[in-house]
Amino acid sequence: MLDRRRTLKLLAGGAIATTGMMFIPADPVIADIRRQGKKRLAMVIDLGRCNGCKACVVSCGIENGNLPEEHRTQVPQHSVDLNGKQYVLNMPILCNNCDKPSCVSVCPTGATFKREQDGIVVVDSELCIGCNYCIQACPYDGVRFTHSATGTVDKCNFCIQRTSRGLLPACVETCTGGARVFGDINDPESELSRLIRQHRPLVLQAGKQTSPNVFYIGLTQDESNRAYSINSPQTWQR
Amino acid sequence: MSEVHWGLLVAAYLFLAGAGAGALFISGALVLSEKVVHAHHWSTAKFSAIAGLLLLMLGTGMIVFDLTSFQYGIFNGDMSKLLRFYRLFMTFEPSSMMSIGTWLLTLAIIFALLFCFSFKRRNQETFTNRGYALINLILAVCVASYTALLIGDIKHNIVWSNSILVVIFLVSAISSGAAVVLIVKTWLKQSDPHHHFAKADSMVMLIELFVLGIFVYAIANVSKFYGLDNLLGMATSAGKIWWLGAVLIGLLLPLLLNLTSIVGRVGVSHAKEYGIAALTLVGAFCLRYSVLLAGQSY
Repeated sequence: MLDRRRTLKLLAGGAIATTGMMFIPADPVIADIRRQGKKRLAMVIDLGRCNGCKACVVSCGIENGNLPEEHRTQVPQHSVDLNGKQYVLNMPILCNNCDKPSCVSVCPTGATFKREQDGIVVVDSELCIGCNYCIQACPYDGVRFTHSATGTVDKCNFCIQRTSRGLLPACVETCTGGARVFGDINDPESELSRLIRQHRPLVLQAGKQTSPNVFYIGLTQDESNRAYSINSPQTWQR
Repeated sequence: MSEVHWGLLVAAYLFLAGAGAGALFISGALVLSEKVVHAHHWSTAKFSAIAGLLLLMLGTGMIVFDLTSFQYGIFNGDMSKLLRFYRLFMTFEPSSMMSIGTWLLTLAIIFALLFCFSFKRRNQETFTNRGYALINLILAVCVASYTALLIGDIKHNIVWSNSILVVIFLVSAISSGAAVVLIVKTWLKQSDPHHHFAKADSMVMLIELFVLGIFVYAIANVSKFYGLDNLLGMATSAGKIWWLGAVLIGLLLPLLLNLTSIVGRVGVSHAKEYGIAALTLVGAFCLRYSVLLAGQSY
């Protein structure tokens, strides 16, 4: 039987635990991925090096045959207030190819699945029936969309047609500021691992517990908890 | 979320599945109860089961049309996309609520069909009819709950992953099922001088009003916790549809019409019965549509 004191303690504990979820750093996510010991392809984005040129957006569209208004990746530009002064935050958004993706389990036909060999989450457009259930299940708005030329769901898959042959994803190769770094999170010698060790980056909305494989350097804890959308309007004004 | 991926047709699907399941539930309950003694009771149960079956089939048609590449196949003349929906019925993914629901709906349609056919052999095999009635009763509860679990399975959504939604959809399904049965009953020109139906209907509506109150309380608190405006406030389109469509038109007005007849002890005219049924069905649709919109607008 719960008395009043014990109930209040439990409620307080629950509130603290819930609030604590909002401030999970990327370290446990990385540790979890590394514990598996398999090859896990991931991306680090250094916001300090992103100049918002959107070369990544253009090269991605050309590489993957997406229409100009349908993006696998986008760089919405947000105004941020720092010490009373307005700055621009270039925020590259793409599918996080999560380690515990919420899109995979909901798919009714098995069209969305996680590749064993490298951890990339892919959509088999031959199996996809276009029900949009995975779009609803994904907490990262806009990273999945219905491709108007196929009528099925499309998203970033780290350019598997390139990365399977040892090449870099199109966005990484084109990045003019060198902000996007791609590699195996389980290879301690990779540039990606070095950056993670050095900068301890954050993931977006860690509280959703999907263990994303896209890490951001230069993001504040508060900014990482926000729900960004690939279709966010540009709020930065010079 | 900034885009609405699930709109009117998905709301219509959730509504039709709910109303169909509700009608089958009431029809099954009528057959199982010992109250089906008169021929007109039997007719009510029979035609309600047929109406429930048709609504379930129409709802499934809606989901095939809207939630698969069927539309794309039509507009682009692509036969492979047009017929791709069959994968939904050929694959079973136990982790996916949509997959479970598709199989549940298929089973419900098959057994509703058998239930409808069993009415032809009333006097010879009463047991068969009762057996199908029981199966339909169970499947109806599963289908009505599934429509809420389908959206509730999206765990990060603070409006949809609300446990009370299952109860709301279940009670609303019975209420809209009762509206379908009321239409059938009125169409069969049955009168109810003792207001038995109106009393039972009012009781379901009062329960629905109570659970809707709990839902609004929960959403208001969750919204505050996440620093959002109340998702069901009058400022949003979801809120307007909720308060005006689901609560006022779909619950308060029919409840009032029912209660005035019961308290005043006046006979309910057929026109009034049709009116109550129509209002309840509009409300059940608005309920699902507003919840769908609210879940996609935070």
